[in-house]
Amino acid sequence: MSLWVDKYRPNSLSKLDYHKDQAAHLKKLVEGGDFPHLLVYGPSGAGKKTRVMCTLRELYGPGVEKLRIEQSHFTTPSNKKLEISTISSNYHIEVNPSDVGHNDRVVIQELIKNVAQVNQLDTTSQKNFKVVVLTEVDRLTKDAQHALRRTMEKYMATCRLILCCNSTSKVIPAIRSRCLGLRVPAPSIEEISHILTVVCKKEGLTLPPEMASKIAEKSSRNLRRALLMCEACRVQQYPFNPDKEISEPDWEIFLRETATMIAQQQSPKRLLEVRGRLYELLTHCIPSDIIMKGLLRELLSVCDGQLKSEVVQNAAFYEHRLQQGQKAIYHLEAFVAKFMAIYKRFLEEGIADIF
Amino acid sequence: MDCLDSDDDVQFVKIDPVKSKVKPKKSVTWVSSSFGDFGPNLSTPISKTKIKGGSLSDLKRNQTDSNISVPQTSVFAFTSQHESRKRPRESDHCITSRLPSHSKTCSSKDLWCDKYRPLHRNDLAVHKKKVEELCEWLARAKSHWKKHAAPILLLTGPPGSGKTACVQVLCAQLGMDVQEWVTNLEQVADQWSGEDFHRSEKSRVDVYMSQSQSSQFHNFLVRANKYPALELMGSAGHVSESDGGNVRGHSACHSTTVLVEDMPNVFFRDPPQFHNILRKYHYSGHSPIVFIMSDSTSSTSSVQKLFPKDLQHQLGVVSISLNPVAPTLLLKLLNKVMSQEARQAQVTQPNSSVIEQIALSSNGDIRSALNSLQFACRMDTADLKPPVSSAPRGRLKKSGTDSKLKYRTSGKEDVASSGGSVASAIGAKDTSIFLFQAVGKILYLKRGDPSTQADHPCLPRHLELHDRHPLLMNPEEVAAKSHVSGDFFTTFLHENYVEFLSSVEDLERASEYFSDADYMSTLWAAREELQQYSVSVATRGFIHSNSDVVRHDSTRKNHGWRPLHKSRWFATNKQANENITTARQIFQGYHWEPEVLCSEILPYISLTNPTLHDTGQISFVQEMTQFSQWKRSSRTRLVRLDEKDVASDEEEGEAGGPTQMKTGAPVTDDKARDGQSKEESVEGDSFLSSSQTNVQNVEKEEEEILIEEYDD
Amino acid sequence: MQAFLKGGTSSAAAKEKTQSPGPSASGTKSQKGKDGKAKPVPWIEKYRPRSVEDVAYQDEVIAVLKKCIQGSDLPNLLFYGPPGTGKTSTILAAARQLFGPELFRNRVLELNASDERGISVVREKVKKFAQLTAGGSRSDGKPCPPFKIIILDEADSMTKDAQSALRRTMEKESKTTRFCLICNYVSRIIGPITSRCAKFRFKALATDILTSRLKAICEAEGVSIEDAAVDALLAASGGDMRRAIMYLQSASRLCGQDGTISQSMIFNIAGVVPEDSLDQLISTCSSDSYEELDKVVKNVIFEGYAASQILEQLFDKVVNMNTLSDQQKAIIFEKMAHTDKCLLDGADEYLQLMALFSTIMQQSCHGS
Repeated sequence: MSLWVDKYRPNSLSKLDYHKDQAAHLKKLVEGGDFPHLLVYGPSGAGKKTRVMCTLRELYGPGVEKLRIEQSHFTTPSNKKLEISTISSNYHIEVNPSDVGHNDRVVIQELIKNVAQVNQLDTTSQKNFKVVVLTEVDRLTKDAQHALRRTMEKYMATCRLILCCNSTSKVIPAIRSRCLGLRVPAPSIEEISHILTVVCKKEGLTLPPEMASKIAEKSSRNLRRALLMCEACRVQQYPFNPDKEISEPDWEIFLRETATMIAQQQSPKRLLEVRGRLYELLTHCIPSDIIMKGLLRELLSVCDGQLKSEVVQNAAFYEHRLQQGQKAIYHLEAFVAKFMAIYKRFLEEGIADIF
Repeated sequence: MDCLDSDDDVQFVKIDPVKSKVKPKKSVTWVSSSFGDFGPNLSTPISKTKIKGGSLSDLKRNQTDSNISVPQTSVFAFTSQHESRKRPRESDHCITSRLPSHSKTCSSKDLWCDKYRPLHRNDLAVHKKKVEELCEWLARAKSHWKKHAAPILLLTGPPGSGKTACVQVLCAQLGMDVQEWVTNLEQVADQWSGEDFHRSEKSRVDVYMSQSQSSQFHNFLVRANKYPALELMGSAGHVSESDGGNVRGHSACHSTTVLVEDMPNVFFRDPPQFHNILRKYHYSGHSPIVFIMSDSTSSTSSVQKLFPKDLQHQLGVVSISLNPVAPTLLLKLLNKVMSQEARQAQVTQPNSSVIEQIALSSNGDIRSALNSLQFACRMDTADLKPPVSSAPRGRLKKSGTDSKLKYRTSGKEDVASSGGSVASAIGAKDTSIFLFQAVGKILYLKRGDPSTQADHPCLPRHLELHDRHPLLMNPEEVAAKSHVSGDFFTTFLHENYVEFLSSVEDLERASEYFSDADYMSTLWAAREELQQYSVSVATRGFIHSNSDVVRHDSTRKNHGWRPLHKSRWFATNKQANENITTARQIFQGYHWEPEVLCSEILPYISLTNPTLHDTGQISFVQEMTQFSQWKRSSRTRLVRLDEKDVASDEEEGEAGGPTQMKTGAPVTDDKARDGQSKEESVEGDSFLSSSQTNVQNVEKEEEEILIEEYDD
Repeated sequence: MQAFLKGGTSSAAAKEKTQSPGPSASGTKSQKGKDGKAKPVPWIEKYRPRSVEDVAYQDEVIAVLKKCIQGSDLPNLLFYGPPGTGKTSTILAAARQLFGPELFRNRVLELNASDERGISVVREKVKKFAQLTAGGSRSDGKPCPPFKIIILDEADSMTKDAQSALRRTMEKESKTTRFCLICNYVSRIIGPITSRCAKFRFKALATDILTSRLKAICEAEGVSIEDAAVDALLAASGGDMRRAIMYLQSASRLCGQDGTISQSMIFNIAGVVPEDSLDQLISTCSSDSYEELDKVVKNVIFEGYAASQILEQLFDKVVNMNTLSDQQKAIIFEKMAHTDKCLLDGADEYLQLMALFSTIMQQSCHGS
């Protein structure tokens, strides 16, 4: 028994539940024999990886589903040893190069070179190329992206790349222009609730429609999330009770409480408490940009129109800093302090207006 | 001259990494001398068993003859089993070298700090209570000799505070032998060129050396214990020759103290090895052992690394920390020396203000003060002295009105350094400060009175909001003196700044400056340069944002003494990295991106709690997804920054956290400081800079001493 | 970038009015040979110009280069201009014409600066190659210039130090080697190098040239395309020939042999945000409702559109908006510039877009 997310993942293009046009296009692409490099992009939980795996299966048959997890070793020019885990089948290899941070360039070059130099073992396969799947391409350094662009051209004969990322904004134009871009939009609320219902039926459960749409709403159009939520609800109570709150991860509750704390009181002491909580969140590997967005979402609910704009501007400003800087806590805290100041002024003005 | 010879010998036998750093770099002979070396010149019955250069070569020859794999020992007790016939000669050597230095007829070339070393307990310029404490420990160690596990003492204090002198004098008084470990680096050179040693193994020399250094140390400790009889024989003979009358007759209960001042370098690299040896010694050894460590801001000699708190606890290590010598005591000492010197006509006597200057500028380092004094008294350097300017004297008077002498610390020294101080030209110590003090200086900032400075700029009316009185320190200098990278300094400042601000507006501005500072240091190529600016932005930004301290006389609200904390950022970062790695290892089967894994998959796994996971997975998931309101033991607990904490591994905090951040263990049993903080609050001296705590301590002790003296 | 040639042996290309000179034809042959079992070639390679005459639109450059080729000599060259205007194609075609297909491989070293940059590369690779001697004739008896060509693509991403090192090498090896530097921004090349090179600026391609070439390719490949789709291609590629051809090929792959390439397909491939989404965004800005805006922006992001693309298209919209004063537009553009920079730095798209649109909302509702 595995998570529903994995259990009910469609494994062929024809079984995909939504964006069927795109699936048809992909099928044609595979049939055409002329397979370009792909750049698959779209929000988290929209099904990018699922589509990639389906495409691979379409290309090579069920052999791609025999996965191995391996550790690959690389050595940088400065003799630093790198280790990265890869997931591979006989036909493809999947790697997340951003795991190795600033040395991603070496990994990409070496990996693709290795793959390209080894000929396809299975001669019965129609395809004379292997596929390298790179995830989180938008997190690659610019250096690595440039290297990638060159490598793409060099080994075009024996390997194809499938790049996955959340947004093409962070991918250099040179790569974008060398790939066939595939946009995978997030599924709509209706699509999600439909899928939830179908999955529950397969599990032998009945999901009330209102419950399905409630989960779908809450998932913010993230199918993976929706499925996880649904499974969590199932564990907590069955038959489903649509009136019951959908359980959330602890960190979200924690984050919300933190936001409430900020809105309740604006003082140095409170800031210290908030800092402690922020550290706690960071220790639990919650990405700092998600913390920032979560805080913003909660804080905005206590603001009115004009204030909201100001707060958003600041959130955007500090989130940018966060990406650029090294110490996330500085910027998160600066945002909190900023909000405290803005909100305090707002409250004081409000009081002044009353009198 | 014999005594000079012995000094030279000492110089190359003894290479102390800590001391050589802080010694004033003057002429060679000066550098070579130190209090630590006065042992052989004592007339009191101490059997000082340090090897002299003369015998060194003999020893080596012996060893090569007998093919000992541990080629060199610096204490003859060790080799005596092979070469007992050497003993008399050596003792002779020691004695002859000792005698002349004691006499008053010694030439003026002799270093004063050797010449006027304390010979009696009353001569010690160390605080009486500390002497008492040390004496008690030694006495207890002596009486319990051989009955219990070997007692261990850790004696710390700034350089030149009389640590070694205390041990030597007190041991002499108690009739204990002192056996000192001396790391000999000469041997290294010998090994390189050594004909008899591993001619073909040059490539492995490094390994061999480090092994041999530690094994030597080990052997030294073990043998010092194993063969007390041999050693006793030698030392007894020794003692009786030198000053037979004072030795207590029964040599059977004659005890030895092992003194380790010169820690082999290997152990700084590999503390666990040292810990093992120490443990072994503690359980198998008999003689009390005294470790003398200088406080230092350099990370390599960190006391904490060699003597972590848990080890101290485990082995019952007693720790005595000496403070810098009080300026009044130092002044008295200098005057005494002066008056003695004056009897020998050839010195030019500097006037009293110069002596005062020397006493002040030495920052409580007796050795450095004496060296400075000697330098000042030399005929040929007398003209180097600039005329005593009125400015420092005026300041002296001012401090005199408080009827206290104060070392120039915190803000004052920076102001004064521009005002041309006399003695700082003559051997003033290069003051480096601990991170704790440095951060404290920024946080407890002080401003000067603008009326004393003519060129204090006036801001136009609309900018008056930003008017600040001049600072009494230079933040960049403070940061630089803390000897950590700017980035690291900023993180510590960041951890602590919030408590020192009282309004949200101040917070807003200060936090923005910190954000700026971090943003500035991101450009990798220009990191080095930008870091300086980044520190400036952070420190000055914070200082300016603090609207409580705008004027020099503005009173702080509720800002008493507060503990400073270590930065949690590195620990957090490290923990997060570890968590991610673990998560990916444990949940390899779910090949998700780490972000998704941690923020979506794991939390929901913990909610759905599928039975397929093994216990390790489940416990990890729980740890990862539950927050501290459910689980009290937070991992991001505050860790107090101790006064003498040294940033051991500060660089590239991004990659891995500094090892010194021991998140679990609170390092706050510095009772002295806690007590002191209470005293401060009683005094109502609410904004006393924590950087002054040391000095404050000294002042108090000094008062007590004065009272005692009146009693006398 | 491809101003390109439809020359060579391909039957479709033969229809083209361009003459196919000998070297160009054999160049194509070698290409074919490499491909083996008729493997599909990327169209940008297939339709790369084979001779300098075929390079579209860059008349001044071509005139000079033609003279050079007739004289069998070249100065050091520096090509600069926006991407997709034919810089690389031009020098490759010129080299092919100079050396012929056999010598071409031995005589030309193409270095991509962003791949292997740094001083060591310039010192080692370039030097090594430059030191090889080159003869003055080729196998078919035609005279051939006795030098080699080193093409440094993307020279503007070379470090200053590497460029300085290059300067020395250029002088030392001037007898046997010609350098051709290619970059987008001439300002990033150090002075000593620009002064040693003949500089050529490549203009952005005019739309009619682009249109005719694209249509020619479609004809050659037997792909049917709507006129609107061609316009969409032009809009999406922004004068970049390579991008336009890439999009075209991708679209033809997706729709298969018998389908017709439609406008929406092009937009989809290029990731262009549909007009109505954009209009909705802008109209929401005048509603002065933060909640509305939040919803719309989220929606756009859920659809997977790239924020940078939105910015690009938004710019044209805002410039032409009559409801805003110039001052308001200036404020908005400043914010857009800032947002663009932040996005490039990797900031979160949602937050940046929210910040931008709330500025626009501020301006359109409370500004003036």
